[in-house]
Amino acid sequence: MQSSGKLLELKNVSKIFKIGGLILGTELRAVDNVSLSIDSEKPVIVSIVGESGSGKTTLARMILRLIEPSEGQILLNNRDITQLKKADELLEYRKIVQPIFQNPFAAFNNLRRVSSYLYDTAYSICGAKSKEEANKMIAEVLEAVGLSFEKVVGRYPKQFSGGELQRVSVARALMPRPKLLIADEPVSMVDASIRMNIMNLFKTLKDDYNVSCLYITHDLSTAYYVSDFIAIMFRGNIIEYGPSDLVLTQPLHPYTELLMSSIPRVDKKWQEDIKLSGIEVKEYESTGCKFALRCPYTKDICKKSRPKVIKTNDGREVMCFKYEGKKYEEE
Amino acid sequence: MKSKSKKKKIVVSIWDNKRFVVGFTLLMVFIVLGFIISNFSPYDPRSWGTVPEELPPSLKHPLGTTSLGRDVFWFLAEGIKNSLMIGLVAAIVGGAVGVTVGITAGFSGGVIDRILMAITDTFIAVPSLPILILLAFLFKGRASIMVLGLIISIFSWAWPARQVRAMALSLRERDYISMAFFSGEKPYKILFFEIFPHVIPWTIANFINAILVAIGQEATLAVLGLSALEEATLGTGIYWAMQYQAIFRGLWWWIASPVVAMIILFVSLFLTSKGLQEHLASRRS
Amino acid sequence: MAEKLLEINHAQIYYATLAGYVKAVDNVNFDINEGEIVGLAGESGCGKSTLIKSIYGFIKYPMKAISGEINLLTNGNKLNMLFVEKEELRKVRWKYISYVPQASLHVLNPVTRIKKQFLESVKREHNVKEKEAMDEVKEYLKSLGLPPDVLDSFPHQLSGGMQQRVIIAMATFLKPRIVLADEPTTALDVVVQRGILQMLRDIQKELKNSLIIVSHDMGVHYQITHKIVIMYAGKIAEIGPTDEIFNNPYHPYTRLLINSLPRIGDREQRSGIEGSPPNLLNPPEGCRFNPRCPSKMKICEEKIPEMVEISKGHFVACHLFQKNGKRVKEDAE
Ligand SMILES: Nc1ncnc2c1ncn2[C@@H]1O[C@H](COP(=O)(O)OP(=O)(O)O)[C@@H](O)[C@H]1O
Ligand SMILES: Nc1ncnc2c1ncn2[C@@H]1O[C@H](COP(=O)(O)OP(=O)(O)O)[C@@H](O)[C@H]1O
Ligand code: SF4
Ligand SMILES: [Mg+2]
Ligand SMILES: [Mg+2]
Repeated sequence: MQSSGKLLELKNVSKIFKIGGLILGTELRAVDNVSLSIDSEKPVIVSIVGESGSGKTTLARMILRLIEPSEGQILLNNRDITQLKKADELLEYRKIVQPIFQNPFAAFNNLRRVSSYLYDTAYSICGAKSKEEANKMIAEVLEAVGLSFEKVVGRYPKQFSGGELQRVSVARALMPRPKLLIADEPVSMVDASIRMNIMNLFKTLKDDYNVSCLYITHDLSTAYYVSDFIAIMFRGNIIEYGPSDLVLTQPLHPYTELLMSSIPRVDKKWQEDIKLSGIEVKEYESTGCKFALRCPYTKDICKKSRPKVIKTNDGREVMCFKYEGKKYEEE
Repeated sequence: MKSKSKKKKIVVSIWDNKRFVVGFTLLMVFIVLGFIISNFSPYDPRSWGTVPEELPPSLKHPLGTTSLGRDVFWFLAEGIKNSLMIGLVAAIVGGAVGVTVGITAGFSGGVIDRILMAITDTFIAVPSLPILILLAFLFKGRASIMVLGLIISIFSWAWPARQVRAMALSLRERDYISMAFFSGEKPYKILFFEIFPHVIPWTIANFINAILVAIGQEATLAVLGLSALEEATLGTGIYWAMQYQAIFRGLWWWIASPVVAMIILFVSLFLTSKGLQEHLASRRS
Repeated sequence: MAEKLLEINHAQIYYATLAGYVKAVDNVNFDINEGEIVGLAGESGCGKSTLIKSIYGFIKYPMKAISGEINLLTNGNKLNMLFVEKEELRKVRWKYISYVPQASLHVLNPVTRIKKQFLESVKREHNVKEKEAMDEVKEYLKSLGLPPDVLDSFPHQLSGGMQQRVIIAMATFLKPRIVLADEPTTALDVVVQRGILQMLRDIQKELKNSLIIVSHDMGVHYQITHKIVIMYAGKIAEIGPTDEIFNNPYHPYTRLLINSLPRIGDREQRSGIEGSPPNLLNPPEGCRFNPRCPSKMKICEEKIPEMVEISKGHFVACHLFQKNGKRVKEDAE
């Protein structure tokens, strides 16, 4: 695999948190040996799906340079992002990568006008020279997200609904014409009835503005709706990756199967009951497959050693002993 | 969200806080006494033999006179001024250094953080008094008020630095700080407009505490004869009274004045700081 | 026919604010029968929690019962929960009606072991010895598939899903006739959500009581409810059997709610509902949905639509439907 032509590339990235005191504390691998890449040729939306605590936010924060990986490398256009130190490099970085946060009310300072963020971005990142120029940029992105300049400028966060404010944050992120948006659960705080408006926005950004997006969520239905590729995370690992059509219609990994069957669909009712576990902590510490304690297909080997990532011939990757040495070739 | 914004904002005035009102009123008395009234002293309160010796309190000498021929009232007024000055210097220097170190450590992380915190922890861990005594000893009781304040501030920055770092670490995790960074806001602006407003309430309370501690430390040094003995401070007031055995000789006004003044000053500073903290806490929630 | 457990007649529950009354629940009517799982759906801010709290008699300033009745029918007695004495409330709570509040992850006291909290809620009505009660509690937890050692834990040692299951166990332990659950799975993962919904459903099957479950996720309603009440801006837009609501949604709002859900295996372009629910301080004249409604007519801005029964048990309040159930015009899609 050559490494050119990649917008973003994660190479065996891990993040280890020390929890508890220095002496008695333990380590938690919140992100465990994750590799993932996004091509720079054609914009794509890649979803990262997983239950809470699976390491999604930690992964996003590493890509956003808010925390450093403990192991592995994160490359943006083939440059290690932890090496970016100079002001102009950081500026360049922010022109390429922009974040969208989960709770818009926590992302905007309550005491500041929402538009002040838009002006900051216009002047500092997009290099606007005059107020007119900045206004023009702002009006344009606001229009792209379906808001009007007059409705936004001069108002404070609390004067918006959650959905509107999240659209403002998408508009702001869009201003530098970034190549990559990192959106961490951008719709989990907004009502189901208006989620689709924001999801459609990501589609539009991809099609009309060539913006790729890393969409982090625990909601499989919206992930299916917008994304080209899906990575399923479980306890720090990506346990299945592939085109979203394949992953979500013919899941390979037993955990993906469980996720799929748990969606409250509106076309098919649940049949048999599922069992919930009380063993979450143990799963992190397991040296075998972290899902082995709950998996219906567990074999002896699953509890003993960690499965490898297996590449299938339909372009998927799965981390499960079920597929080891079978019809799929291992790399 | 909607329901939240509709909640009535109850405006709580700081003057509704009894502790603060009592503490602040007392503090104002001290400030007026120290910084205004002391300037009207008819004689240099430090020089000896300006008034008849060992007179009990009277109209002419409201707090009596000492064996050295000093007027206790005017000496006390001057002492309050100098003690407050020492406290202020130590609190300003210590606070400024502490906040700077704490924010730098918290936000830069990595090696810088580790080095700064190692130094900070050393300053927290070593017992401050023996070292203060050692340093003061170098000046042989001839340090100026300013220098005394600076010596004391050597130990008054470390604790604030730790606290501010902890705050900076938690602030760093906040989404709106990241948002400001990705909007291209200049680091100094993030510092002043996004972070300081959160640190300031704590800084004010800490500032008053630091004054209190510094005044106490000066008094300790003074009693040991290591403070600015030439100057009038609350500490030196006690020092001279003890040197001349004021207690045993029944010159109670000499020893009681600085001790009582010190206690009341402590209480007033404590109440002010506590009241402020309570007020800021109630406002934040 | 199944016994009626609850009847709601012209309930009006407002919030008193400086700017005037927020009309959070405005003239709501419906009944709940024994053995039913009823879903309460609608966007946030539509009055779902206000209604649920009122059913539990949990009316605290600035919330105010204005008029109407929410009658709890217990053994032939009627108890209007909107205007009820504290003493009466104490008698029916936990035993006849229990409540799992919204955001219930903050319900458990963080510094008390689960055991103590459980016993306190249970002993309130039961005059049993602690030891006996404890055994019963353990047995009950086991029957629900919960490990009994949760009793010795503090809340923060349990995951969000486990806390929620404990709260539900507490609420159902005394076999109440009505269980109210306000957004019991919002903020939980799908797998845990499914487990908890199944647990609620199984308990309901066992006790043959009624369960009222609030959610803004139509998928949740489809999966476990028998009957759905769609609320919009403090009023009921549509009520009907669950399958009916999904197969033949009549109210434009119901349609939009259902159509705004993405489905796996179907990438067809979908859109959410434009705009947001109105401020209930000054709700729109006429039909409260009219500013967002794609099928709006002139009358919609003038007259409040009345509830009409289109088919058995399926009611809708919309001017698209006449008193006799005839459709006035087709929906604009
Ligand atoms: N700063 C931190 N210190 C210690 N543990 C952390 C920290 N941040 C996250 N974690 C832990 O890492 C795991 C993954 O968390 P997170 O990335 O937030 O997951 P997700 O976003 O998928 O819910 C969790 O168990 C969480 O408690
Ligand atoms: N304490 C309150 N004071 C004033 N208005 C309130 C209060 N609580 C809720 N409301 C208003 O009442 C309406 C209904 O709220 P709620 O019952 O919580 O809705 P839901 O549960 O459907 O989200 C909302 O418009 C909300 O703004
Ligand atoms: S009454 Fe009119 S505005 Fe209201 S939902 Fe029906 S058609 Fe739409
Ligand atoms: Mg997260
Ligand atoms: Mg609610």
